[in-house]
Amino acid sequence: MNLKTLLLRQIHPNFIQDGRVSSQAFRPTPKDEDLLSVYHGDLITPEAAWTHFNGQPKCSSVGVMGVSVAECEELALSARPDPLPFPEHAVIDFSTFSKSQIEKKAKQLRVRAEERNWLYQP
Amino acid sequence: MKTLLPLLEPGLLGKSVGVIGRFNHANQLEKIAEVEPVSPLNARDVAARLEAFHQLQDGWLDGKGVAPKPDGLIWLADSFHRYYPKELILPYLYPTAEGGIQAEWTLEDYEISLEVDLVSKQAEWHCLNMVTDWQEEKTLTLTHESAWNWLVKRLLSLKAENGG
Repeated sequence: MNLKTLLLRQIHPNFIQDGRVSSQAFRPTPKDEDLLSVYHGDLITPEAAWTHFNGQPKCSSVGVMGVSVAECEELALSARPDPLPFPEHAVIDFSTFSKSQIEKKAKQLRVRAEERNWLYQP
Repeated sequence: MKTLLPLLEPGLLGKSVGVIGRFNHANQLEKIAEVEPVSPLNARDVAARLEAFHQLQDGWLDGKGVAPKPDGLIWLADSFHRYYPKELILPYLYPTAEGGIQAEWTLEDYEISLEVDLVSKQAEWHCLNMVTDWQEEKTLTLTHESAWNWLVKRLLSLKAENGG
């Protein structure tokens, strides 16, 4: 993983309306222990990541967006591989930030991902 | 009832579609001639969007995610109808993992969210200027009309700041 590595995020069908993706797609839920799950873009393509994700029970994604490791670091967010669930799994760590700071960073990540546009849509 | 799924091209999945079909004398659908995307009257209609969330069940978010309470959705739709001017820019609405609703607006440089707790009827306003990094937070009690008035005035002010 390096600064250019893209971190691939699956977008849930309920987190998109009229083409606009919610900032919630870019922040962990309280049950995620402040770690946002992503796919390691150097190890898997956006299409393969989408296929893998949708193949898991109860999981649903309308497409894949992404932010780079460099963009995360600009926001003081660290990213790291987390291959325990599966080899291409990685996380963006929000654990040192308050709820308000997490909301701010989610908005910033959303805009960066939106500028990059969809990496994969079926 | 027939499913249209086999007729839909991948690009049409998840979109509103119009269907042209042929019916027989018994008013039964005989043949589907055409399926094409259509634009709903307003893709950001608040009442229609909140109505759709009644279908959510616990576990909706990849096995997690609490379903929003139906009475809470009705209350929020009614509140928007009462207090939110139709001519004001409509919010994007999304369910939250905790069973609430998050309204979001993008107003030029501003990214805005209002996270609504459908049980307590409280909401967290968060507004971020993407250029200057300025941010504003406020807790609103949406059972009070004054909170809705503040919300509307704030959105109008930010809209005016961005040139109307």
